[in-house]
Amino acid sequence: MRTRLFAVIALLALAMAPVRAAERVLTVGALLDLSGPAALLGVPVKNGMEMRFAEANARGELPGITLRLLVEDTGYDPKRAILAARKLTERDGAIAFLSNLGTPVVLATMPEILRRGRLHLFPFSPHEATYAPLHPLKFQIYAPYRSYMDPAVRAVLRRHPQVRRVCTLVQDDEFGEEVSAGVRAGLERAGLSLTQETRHARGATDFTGQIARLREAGCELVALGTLVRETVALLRTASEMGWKPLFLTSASAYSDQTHILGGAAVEGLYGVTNPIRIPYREGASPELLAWLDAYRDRYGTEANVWSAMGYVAAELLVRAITTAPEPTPEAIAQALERLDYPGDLFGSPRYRFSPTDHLGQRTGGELTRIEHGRWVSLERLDGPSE
Amino acid sequence: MSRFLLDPRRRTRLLAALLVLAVGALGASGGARYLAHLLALAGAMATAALGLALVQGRAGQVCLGQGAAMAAGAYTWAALAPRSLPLALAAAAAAGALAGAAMALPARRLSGLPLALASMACAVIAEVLAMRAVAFTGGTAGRFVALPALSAFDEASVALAFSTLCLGLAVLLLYRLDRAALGRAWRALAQAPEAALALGLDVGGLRQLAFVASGLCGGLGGAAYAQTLGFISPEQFALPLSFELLVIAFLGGLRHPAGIILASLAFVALPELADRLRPLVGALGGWDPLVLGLTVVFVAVFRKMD
Repeated sequence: MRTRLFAVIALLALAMAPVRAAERVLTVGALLDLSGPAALLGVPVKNGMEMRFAEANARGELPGITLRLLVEDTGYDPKRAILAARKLTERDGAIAFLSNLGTPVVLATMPEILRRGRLHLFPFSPHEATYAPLHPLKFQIYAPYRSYMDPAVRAVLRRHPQVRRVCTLVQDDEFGEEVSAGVRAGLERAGLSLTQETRHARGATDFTGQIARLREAGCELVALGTLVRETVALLRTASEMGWKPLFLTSASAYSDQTHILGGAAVEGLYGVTNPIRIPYREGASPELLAWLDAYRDRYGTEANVWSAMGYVAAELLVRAITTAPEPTPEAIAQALERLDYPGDLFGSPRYRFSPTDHLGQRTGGELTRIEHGRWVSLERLDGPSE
Repeated sequence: MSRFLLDPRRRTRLLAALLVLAVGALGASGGARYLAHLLALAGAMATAALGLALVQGRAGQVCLGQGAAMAAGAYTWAALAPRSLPLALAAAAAAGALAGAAMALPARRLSGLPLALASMACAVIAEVLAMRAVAFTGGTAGRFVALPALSAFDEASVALAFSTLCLGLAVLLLYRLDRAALGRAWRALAQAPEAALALGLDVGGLRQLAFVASGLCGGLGGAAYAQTLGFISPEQFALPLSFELLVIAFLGGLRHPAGIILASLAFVALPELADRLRPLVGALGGWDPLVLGLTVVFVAVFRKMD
């Protein structure tokens, strides 16, 4: 009993000791999935951000400041995320959160992070709440699901004018609801209505029920609000059941992982970029090739679109810190509002913020499709119907 | 019955240690504030796990659905706390008791494994109900728990104080029940059900009461949990939570509140330890659950059973 008691006290004392460092270190926190359904996104995003911070430190881009990235694995679980956010905020002194991932995680942790006066930057889950209503410390660079699914579904319908029955298969949470809402808005503008909506639990692996229901409803186009793993699984299921309607996925499954894992089953899948294209090696510029090589040397795996997005998010923060008079959340926020981003080797848009608008780009991306085992961009999507 | 609490010397030491930690947590330093959150969470889990000490440790019934009682308490607290704190707490306890009663519906006829599975079904149903009863629970989007209006203190201190209150109430309940005839009847039920039946004890009714009392603790724990996290959503109350409570109760010995309190402190502290050890394993995903699992196995193999 006594041993147990002292052991537990020792454990708690360990918990109290902060991972604190000298004054010159700026800590940036990130709530990512390093395990669980979204680990396919979380790990590359982490790598991309880490790489940019390491470059900034090595080149001395921020005189007198060392950037430190602290990542907490949330496993798509809001409870772990809340505790992790508190740990990073209170114990580790993070001044900003960058690229938080997972709509449920982001929605659960954002209010408290903002209450504590920390920056909440470019969460990977583009729910509308991440930039509206306006808040001095919250910024977003990805167009919300709702605003790009609308033009995307209309673009697919234009390419397949005979399609009349459109359905959705979405994750059973706010992410899925936003995708679904975007699809409905697009259908309304096209003069159609949703034939059938089905949902799946987060992290589900079996989709036979949903596919059977959609097939029975006679769906010709199915819009998906699913992550990479689930998208591949359900397309495989449909293929095995001998059913081949058109599928349109949100940007959450726009990654080379989708065709690498999916193979023949995902051929013909429509998707959306948000906002940059996958950095394939074939056809890459010399600068992009150099970047891909540097990433591979550092991490031993090939970079993908999530790595690039993490890198760009970190790039924006580094630029803002460079021009901020002091490295505090408020000063960095104001520097972001003044930022004039010239674009980069990944083809990012020219992100622009202002004191009244903290959404960096509204133009959305492109409609793409998997052809011969590769995502191919087809057309630019018209702006979101705001 | 002197084994209910630790012997006086150890009890004093435990309380002193907790007091020091609590006082430290109320301090201004950020690390201490985080610790206060951890302690508050441990308190909430301990409160709910005490219910298992009741239903399993005393009445000998396996309950796999304590998460449902926590869910009932948590959502009730979230809904009523802005109106009136005492009302919300009483309602949360009552809601938990109701959840316990629901789990106990089959208890008149069933016992053992079938009853355990029925309680597990309740845990699953609770999550689905929480997702669908959108008006009350906010659905999958979850609910934020408002801070009570009288908080002049830090959120962490309020959460810790409240968790301690709920824990204290649960301990009090356990103590009173143990000393009453009901406690003796439960012991008889646990040790020799046929003999109890032969003596004319209402065995089915006793089982049901055990679940109701356990649910009450679960409801209190749920309220504390909601206040600590500040945000509740259906997937937090799914089956894994019920199993976590079982693990805590098992590690704590199922009988002594002190053991369960310590076990929940350890349960909350272990992920922190795992974090410190992370440099050894690099970017391995799932490290935290692995550490917890190994600890449970280790304790199970090497501890002396009470």
